[in-house]
Amino acid sequence: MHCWGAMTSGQSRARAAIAAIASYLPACELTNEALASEVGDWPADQIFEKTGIRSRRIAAEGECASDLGVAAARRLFETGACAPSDVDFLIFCTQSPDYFLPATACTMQARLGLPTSCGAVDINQGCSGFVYGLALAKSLVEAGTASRVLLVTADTYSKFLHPRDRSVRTLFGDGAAATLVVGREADDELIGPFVLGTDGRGACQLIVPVGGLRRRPDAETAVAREAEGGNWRSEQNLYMNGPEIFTFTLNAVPRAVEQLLLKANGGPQAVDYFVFHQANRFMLERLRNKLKIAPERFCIDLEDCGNTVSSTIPIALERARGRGSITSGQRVMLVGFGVGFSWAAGMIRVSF
Amino acid sequence: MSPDSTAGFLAELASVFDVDSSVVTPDFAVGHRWDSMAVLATIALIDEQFDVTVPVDGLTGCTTVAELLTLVRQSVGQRAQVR
Repeated sequence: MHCWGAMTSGQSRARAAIAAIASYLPACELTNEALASEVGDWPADQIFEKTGIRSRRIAAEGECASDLGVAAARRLFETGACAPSDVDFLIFCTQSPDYFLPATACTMQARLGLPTSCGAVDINQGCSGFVYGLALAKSLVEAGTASRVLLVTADTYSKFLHPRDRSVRTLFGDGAAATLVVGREADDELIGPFVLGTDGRGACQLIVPVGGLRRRPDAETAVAREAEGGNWRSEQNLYMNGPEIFTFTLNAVPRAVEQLLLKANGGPQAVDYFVFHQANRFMLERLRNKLKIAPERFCIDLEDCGNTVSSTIPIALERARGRGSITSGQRVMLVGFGVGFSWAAGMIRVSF
Repeated sequence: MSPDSTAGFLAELASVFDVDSSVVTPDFAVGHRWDSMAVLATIALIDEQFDVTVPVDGLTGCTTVAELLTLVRQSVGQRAQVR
């Protein structure tokens, strides 16, 4: 009888690995002071105390997710990690695409000068998007379908927000990150395993209800109305039910972490550092507490950019590597969770 | 829920609502206190103290601390059944 059991570890073969990460934030800054003067009854220090965020970057009028993504990818190429001509697959993850069609990834292929032999697709996921993108990139590389996958995450949620909805304006910032996934000879997995999950019953809890084809925008849906807590929004704006999202997170994330530790054959001690989706400090502190993770092994890094949706994890990884919080070969657990509801947890080894 | 855990919970609840702990008795009215941060902080507190999440609608429907304690008891009971 043949034994195929040793496929995932202990045997040198081409493993998908993160070779480089580069992020990009738009120039315009929205500080708590500016927000406080706009929304009135929330002082700047109180916004920081409740969210852990001091300022966010906001894309300019006419500056789209693709523009942020292209800027992040160009920064990655400038590091010399690879040339545009070396990329043979582009995954673009966004929930704020330029068009219904074509795929934004196709327009980015041309702008970035990627070869016409390059595959290019968009994926639509939010806070879980980076980890989903890594799972897909790993599969493409290890199946031999592609050898250098450029995974670009970018979102401009600011364009969905009503100016008078402080519940979301305090949290979300725009941003992008480019991550290069390549094949490397290694004994052990450098990306993976993963635990993925979906609960579509939560779809209505974080949503832009109007603007797609199910509900077309018109004058009626453009009218803003006062909602809970004195926040204002129209049905063309983003709606977030904070308490429902928080409850979902408290249930789904610890379960995913537990399942991933089992799958990765290790207890929490086998993980050197944890990078969760940087939603807000309150939620992260609660999760850290619940999972009993020491503060020095748990990333909280959103003070100057807020919740950038699909890009919080790669931005945090790039910075953690830069300041030496993680070093080559260490095991890092990534967990993305939110809009969908959708969640994804995955292990990586630091290889960038 | 032991008397001890209830007492500890009520003390923490007082800090959620930013009132003196002596006023947080079962009769204490909470119906008008459910702003966004109070809801999040109470969900977090219940999860921390009783390892259970309560339905959001049920929580914001509570008008007194007594109702809130009943909701927590029900949620703990349901969790026990699931397990």
